Formats: sequence, C-alpha cells, structure tokens
Amino acid sequence: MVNRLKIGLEVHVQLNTGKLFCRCPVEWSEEGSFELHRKLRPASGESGAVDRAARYEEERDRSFTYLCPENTCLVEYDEEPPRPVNQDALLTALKVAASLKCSILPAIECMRKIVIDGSNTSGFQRTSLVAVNGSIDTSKGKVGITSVCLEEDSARKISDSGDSVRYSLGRLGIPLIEITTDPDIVDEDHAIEVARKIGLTAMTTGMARRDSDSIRQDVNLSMGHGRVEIKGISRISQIKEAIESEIDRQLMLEKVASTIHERGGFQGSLHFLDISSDLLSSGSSLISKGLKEGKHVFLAKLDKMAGVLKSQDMRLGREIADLTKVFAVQGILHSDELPGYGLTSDDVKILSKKAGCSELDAFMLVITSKNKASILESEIPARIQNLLDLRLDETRSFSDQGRTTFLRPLPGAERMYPETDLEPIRLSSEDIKSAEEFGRLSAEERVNKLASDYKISFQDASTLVTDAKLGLFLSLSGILSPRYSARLILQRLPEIEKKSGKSFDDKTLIDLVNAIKGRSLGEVSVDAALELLSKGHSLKDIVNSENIKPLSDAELFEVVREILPNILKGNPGELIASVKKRTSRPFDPRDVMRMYESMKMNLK
Amino acid sequence: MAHVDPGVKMTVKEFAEFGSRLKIEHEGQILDVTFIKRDGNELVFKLSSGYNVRFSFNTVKLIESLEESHSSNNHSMEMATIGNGSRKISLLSTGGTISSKVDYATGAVKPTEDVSFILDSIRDIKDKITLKAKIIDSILSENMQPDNWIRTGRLVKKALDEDDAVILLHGTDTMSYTASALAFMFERQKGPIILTGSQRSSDRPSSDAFENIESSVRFSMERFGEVGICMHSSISDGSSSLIRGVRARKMHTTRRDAFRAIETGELGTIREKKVSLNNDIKHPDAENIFSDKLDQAAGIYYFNPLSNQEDLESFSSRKKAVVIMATGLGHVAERLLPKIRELTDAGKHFVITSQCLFGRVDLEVYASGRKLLAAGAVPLENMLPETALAKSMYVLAHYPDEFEKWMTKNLRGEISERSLLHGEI
Ligand SMILES: [Zn+2]
Repeated sequence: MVNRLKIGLEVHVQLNTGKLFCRCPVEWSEEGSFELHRKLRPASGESGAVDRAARYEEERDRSFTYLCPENTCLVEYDEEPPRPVNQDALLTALKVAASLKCSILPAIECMRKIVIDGSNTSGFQRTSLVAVNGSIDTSKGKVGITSVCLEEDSARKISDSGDSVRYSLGRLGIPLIEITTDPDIVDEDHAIEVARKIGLTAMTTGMARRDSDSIRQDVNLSMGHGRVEIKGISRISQIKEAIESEIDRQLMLEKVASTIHERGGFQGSLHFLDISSDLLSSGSSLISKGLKEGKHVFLAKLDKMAGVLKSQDMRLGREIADLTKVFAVQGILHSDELPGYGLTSDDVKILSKKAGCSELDAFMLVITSKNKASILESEIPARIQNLLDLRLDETRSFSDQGRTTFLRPLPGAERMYPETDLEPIRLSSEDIKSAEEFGRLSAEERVNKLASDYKISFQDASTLVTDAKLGLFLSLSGILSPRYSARLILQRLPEIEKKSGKSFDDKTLIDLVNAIKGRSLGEVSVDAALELLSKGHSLKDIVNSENIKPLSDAELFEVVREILPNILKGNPGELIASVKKRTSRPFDPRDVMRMYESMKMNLK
Repeated sequence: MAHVDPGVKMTVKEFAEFGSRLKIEHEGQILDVTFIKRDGNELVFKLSSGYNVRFSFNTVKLIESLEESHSSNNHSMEMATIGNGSRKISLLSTGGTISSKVDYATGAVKPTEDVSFILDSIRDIKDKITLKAKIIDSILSENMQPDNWIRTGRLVKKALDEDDAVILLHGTDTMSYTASALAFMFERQKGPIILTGSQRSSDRPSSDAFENIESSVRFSMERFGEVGICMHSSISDGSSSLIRGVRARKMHTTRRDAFRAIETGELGTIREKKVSLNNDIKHPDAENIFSDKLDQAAGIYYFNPLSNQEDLESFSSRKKAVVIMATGLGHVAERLLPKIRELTDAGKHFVITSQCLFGRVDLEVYASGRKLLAAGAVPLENMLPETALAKSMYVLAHYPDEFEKWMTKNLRGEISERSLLHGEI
C-alpha cells in the first residue's frame, strides 16, 4: 500500500503587509459590518464548455450574503477594479521563493481562477505564479517545490444553509503565499515535517500574519485512483489525521468496488419514483416533516448494494449523503439503516417490493423538492459510478469529525484566464537580487543569525519566528533595545493580554512605543502604557497621561522615605509593592532598592 | 530537471497558431505549454496548471510541436431567440456584447448574441415572451457620436414598430446622453425603450449585466411609453431601478448603482423579481413618431475660475447653442457677460444649467444672475447639462426660430415641475 501512496502539500501563508489589491488593513473586527447580497454565474469558456467545477456550483443556484467589516472597500465588494499589487507582499513572495530554491519568473501575470462558491465576490480568485522548480531538504530526502504563487485570500464562510451562504469579507484580499510541493512526500509524518519547514521559511520573512488560521494546508493525495485534494487543514497536527482518514476511505471504496463487481456491476442509472402520496401516514418524522414543507419523497432502487451502503467496513451510503448535502438535501435514508427513523420492518418490506428489490438490492428514500430530485437523479448514479470505477479525483474538505467529505469536482485548467484589469509585472533585477540575497540562508540559519545579530537567546529568536512575532520584534527593536523588545513581546505582552482578555495588533503597539519614545520616555513607561492600553485607554490619552511619566529621582526618594518606617517595622520584601501602592507612575525597582539601602545605611 | 540537446530557436511562423500545444525549453527547463500569443518582445504560454507565463522571445527554444491548435467556435447552446410567447421584445446591442464567452486562454471577451444565460432567471415569464437578440453595432460607449444615436434610433424605431418593447444594450459611460437623445427623437412611442448595460464586465461571474438584462426584460412586460435606463438600485443584487432617460446620470465610475434619478422619482423598481411602476410613468402612445433630425452645432461649456472671454468665444465658434454649466444658482463671472451679450446678439444661444446637478438654477436671486439674464442667457431650471445638450440638438433641428420657447418647455419630463425631496444628493 505504502509504495503507491503519493502525497503533496499546498501551504498557504497569510501576510501582514496590508491587502493585496487594495490598501485596506489585514486586521479587523466584525462590529458595525453591513450586508451585501449577490448571485454568481459562471462565464462560459471558449470551447463552449464551462469549467466543470464552476458548472457544478451553478447548478446549486445559491445566493450569497456578505458581511462587510471596517477593513473592506469597493475592491472587496467587486465594485471597483483591483489597485496595483502590494509591493511588500510581492517582495515577500519572492523571498520565500528564493529560500525554497525556486527560479523566479521574469514576468508575473495575474490570473483569474474561477471560484463560484461565493468565497470571492468577483467569482474568481486572483492568483499569480511567482516562481517554479524549487526544493527543500528533509529527513526523508529532497522534496520538490512545484510552485510559489501569490494570491488573494477568500472570504470566510460564516454559515451555510445550502441555498444561501453567509461570508465575512474581512479576510478577502489578504495576501496569501501558496507553496505547492511535488508529490514527493512519503507518509503522514513526513508531510508534517515538510509543512513545518515551509511554514518556518515563510515566517522568517517577518511578514506572516499572526492569527489562528493564518497558515492553512491542503493535502494532495493519490493511491492510484486519481488525485484527491483535501482542503482546509488549519492545524499542522491535523495533516496526519486527514491523510489517515482518506487512506481508510479509499481502501473502503476498493472493497465496495470489488464487492459490487463480484455481484455483476452497477447498471449506471437510478429511477426516482415519487411515493409522496403513499407515505402520508408515515411514522417517520423526517418524512412527515418533509411532506409538510411541501417536499416529495422519492424511492429508488440501488442495484446490488445491500450491505455496502452501511456495514462493518463499507460505507457507500455516507458517500451518497455527502453528495446530497452539497445540494442542500439532508433528507436521505437507505435500506442498510432501516428499519429505523420511524420506519418499521413492514414499511421496509413494502418499500423494498415497491422499488422492485431482490435479495442483493438496496433502496433509498430521498426527501426533497421535484427540482432538486431531477438533478440528484442524474448526479447520484454518476457519482456512484465514479466511486465504483475508483475514479476518485475530487476536492474534499477536512471536517471537524476527523474525516474528509466531498466538496466539489477538481477544477480544470480551463478555469484560469488572465486578469485583464492588471498589467503583467516585470520584476526589476534589484528585486530579484534582494530576494536571492535573502534566500541564501536556510530558515534555520536565519533564526540563528537573528539570535546572534540581536544578542537574544536562540529560544527567544525561534519563538519570535514561529509565533509570527518577528515583524513586531524587528519594528520594536528599532525603537527599544532588542533584548527588552523580546522580553516585552514574549513575556509582558502575553501576561497583560491574558490578564485583560484583550489582544493588541502590531500597529497599535508600534504606534504606542513610538509615541512614548517621542516623549523621551524609557522602557518603564512602555510597561505602564501597556497597562493603560489593556484598560481600554486610547492611544492619545495614554501618550498624554502623567501616569506613564517615570518618577524623578527626587519624587521616588520622597516616596521611599515616607514608607521607610513601615517597611523597617514590617517586611522588607514588600518594599516594591508598597511603592507601587503609593504611585501609579512608573519607576525602576532597582532605583528603589538603591535608595532603600542608602537610607538604611544612613539610619545606622 | 530534464536535460535535452539545445533546441531549435523558435521562429514567428512556428508558434503563430493560437492554441497549439508545444514542448519548449526555457532556461534549462522543459515545459509542455499551450501557445497563447506574442506580445511585443514576449511570448505568452499557458502551463498545464492554467497559469500563463511570459518569456522573453530569445530565451525560448521550441523542442517539438505536440498538437495543432483545435480551438473551435461552436457554442452548442448559443441562442439568439428564446421563447415563443406573445410579448415580443427586441434586445439590441450597441456595445457588441450581449453575453460573453471568455476566451480562457487570452482573457479576451468574445461578444455573442447568446441570450440563453437568462433562461433560468426568467422561468416565471419565459412562456409569455419572445426575446430576440441582435448585435447592431460594436462601439465603445465613449466613442458614440450623434451619428450613432441617429443610426441606433432608426433601428430602435424599426424594432418598436414590429415588437412590443425594445431593450438597448449600451456602454454605461454615455448611456444617459443616448437615452436623452432617443427620448427627444421619439415624439411618440407605443412601448418601452429601455437602455441597460453593465458596470462590471460580463466576463466575470459577478457581473451585473445578467441581472440588468433580466430586469429590463421584466420592465419590458409592462405597458408604458418612455425611454428609461434600467440598472442596479444598490450594490447588492436583487433590486433594479428604471430611471427616466432625461433625468438619469452616471454618478460613479465603477459602482453597480452608479445610475441615479437626479431630483426625481424612479419610473419603476424591481425587488425580488416583482415590478412596481410609478404612477407618473407615461402611458404608451398609439403609434411611434420618430424624427432622426439632430443639429450637431451645440456644446457644453464648463465655467470655472480661469474662464475668460477668449476661450468662451473660441468654444462657441461654429456652434449655434452652448449649454453653460454654471456655478451654484447659475452664475458665471461678470467678465464673460459682454461676450455672452455679443454672441447672443450674433444669433447664438446660451442656456444655463448648474454644476451642482441637484437643484434649480435661478437667475433672479442675485444681481449677477440678473446680469446674465440681461446678457441674453436662458436658464433651464433643473435640467441636467447632458440632457440640455441633447435637447439643444433636437430643438435646433426642429424649431430653430423658437429655440428659447422649446428649450424651456417641458417636453419629456426633463424638467421637474415641483422640487421634491428625492433621495440622497
Ligand atoms: Zn479594500
């Protein structure tokens, strides 16, 4: 089995550079969003054929609602052409490409990739091929890098009722670097290693966005039955789970296929019999509810499929249900799970007879509208035939239940055509040279260099990188000392964020620190300012606040002198805490210790 | 990376055929590609992944030709007529694109007369209509001239004689000029003439073209005799507005809801496929009366702080009527008044509209306005400047001796009788 397994990865890394084709920021809150409603239709291609993945979406005839938060503009609403590409994002993509030993293309042409599941308001995703043919070294050999692309992230789905889908546009347009590997990965653990390496490479640019789903992986997997693309794996650890569950599924389908083959094969079509009037008195709530909603109940014989729909080790029924779910049809029952769902064994006998089943045959009930039934009547047998022929190439998604589910057919190359609103970009030799300069070191070497350049520990350097805090560090260490910056980012900030339950974006922090420096205040003031920030004070208030101004030597001396008698009587360990109680302004504890010691000496 | 013997350098002839599949070498890499085009010094190829790449001409070597081009032109589903119902609707396109077939290789938008895309969305009225689509011109909206209006007008007249309603597909940039011109050219009309178009091109799945055409078909089911513009009411899909052509204006460069009824109600709206018409929409006439006479000796002069007598004079030369877009209530600088007086005396007409677009000009409130009146200028109330231009051409051609009388008379609803508080500014 193992030697016919081929695995490739697509790693997507969001950048914090600002959006790719407009000047909107990449951070947002959903508060105050307004709504936008749209429909999408595929444009048909030159051959007269619409891309099959696109056509598939069209049949679902859905309407889309978009929530438009503060970090969106007319570009995200598809109400304005894209602005020129974000240069920082482009240069970052070049750096990543160079680090992965790719050859960078001399001219970069932006393409439209038709995606009409609503995740892009325009109906396509803008994507540019930046570089090709790289490689990385791993513990299990060289893994080829097929390509590095720079693309815009899609909108995030909020809810999906089948016929209508809601998205938030906050994420739409965030730059994504997509790194695709060759199918050189040998197993699950190797896939994880490769994903980590690629992720680290992107993080060392300091431009990776810090968010829970800012790095996402797709797995491409083949066991000789066509390529399956598994989307939406946001945690690296899930890669293993996704691969294992897909292997199990394909082994299961091999078994189903051979069982049906032994029984003489599937005849390739289904006949839906409308039995709505027969079931009016049904005890099944699923059926009676459907009928009440004006749906119909259709009965179809599933040729030679008794036992393969749902048994110990065969689950073809689930595959059919995954398909109907795509068409927003939840009401489906099959004979392997009956009697049940309110249908008695007598009901099953009657239905079985009505469907014309013999011993090895199964049947299913589909509760849906006439319209959808006519689509499913051809879609279901087509899918069953594909599965039995082990033509398994398709796009699947990795679900919370730890298994992969059918999403749509794999899109073809026909879905790509040039973005006519943008001119191709010709890279300057300086841009390529600076990327190559960056790519000269490996990701690990760059972490080492970071530690030694800034005189911080290797541990701190590597945490800064993997937590996507490198960009923040580089900015802050230009204002504060590197060592203090690292401590601020890795210790003080998480403490304050945890205590206050708030989190601060990089820009706010950098602005704050800059403003404090502008008032010639030191590191103790930064600490005090962060406390105020966590209590909800505005940047302007904080910067003008007396409370971030450190106590002068004389002022601090006065405070220490006042509390000295009590401290001498009580516990000297409470010295710092007592000073803090007396003043809300920052001070350096070392100064307090120094004054305390000298006062004590004087008393003697 | 495969290694091959140095290939032959490509010649123009060898990759001339669009769509040919080739094996090429570029900087040591062997690639299977589809040839797209030569663009200056670059060759554009499509990779099997769908991405296009551009290589400098002299860096590419042809290894072998894999397959001749077999791009075909047969669109199996193409339909220029749909339905067999009693309501006959003509869909005429001036811009050349009714729907688009995207040439996925080059991104070129290929215009077609195919209207089959609309079938799904008009299921409810499909049986009631016969919709015939025809491309009558292939001209960008910004290149439209009065000669095109005349030609288009004649074709619209012919279509409206035969059918019950006409939908005219038009680029949005000058759509309101064309709509105004048609409104004046049709003295009587026995059915709807509806102009529509798209702000977002029809080569994108999100294009507003689909719904704008669908809504135009729905408005065409109604009985009225006006020239209207049908476009999105908002940036969301799902609602459309029909705006009287002489009161419509494109108010945004790119938004779907760019067209606004300026200081007037809409003629009709569609929400969730349901049409509702305003009460003051004109009833259809019993017949079509159409005139294709327009005098092109007219123009729009945008007054500004740099304006002087010389440029007004040179602008006005060889023109019989000048629409001045004046400031505020209808004012121009005092320094222009002697020239206006002089040219008016010489037989030229100066009519006054406002750069504000919203609101009426009034030359009696301030002294400067009264001086402009005294100089011979004619205020046009709240008529839009572009409408005033089209109307000038119509009036010059039909009533040259009574220009002022006809310009100030409300002929097609171009002047609002009452100043109502309509919508946003
Ligand atoms: Zn934006």
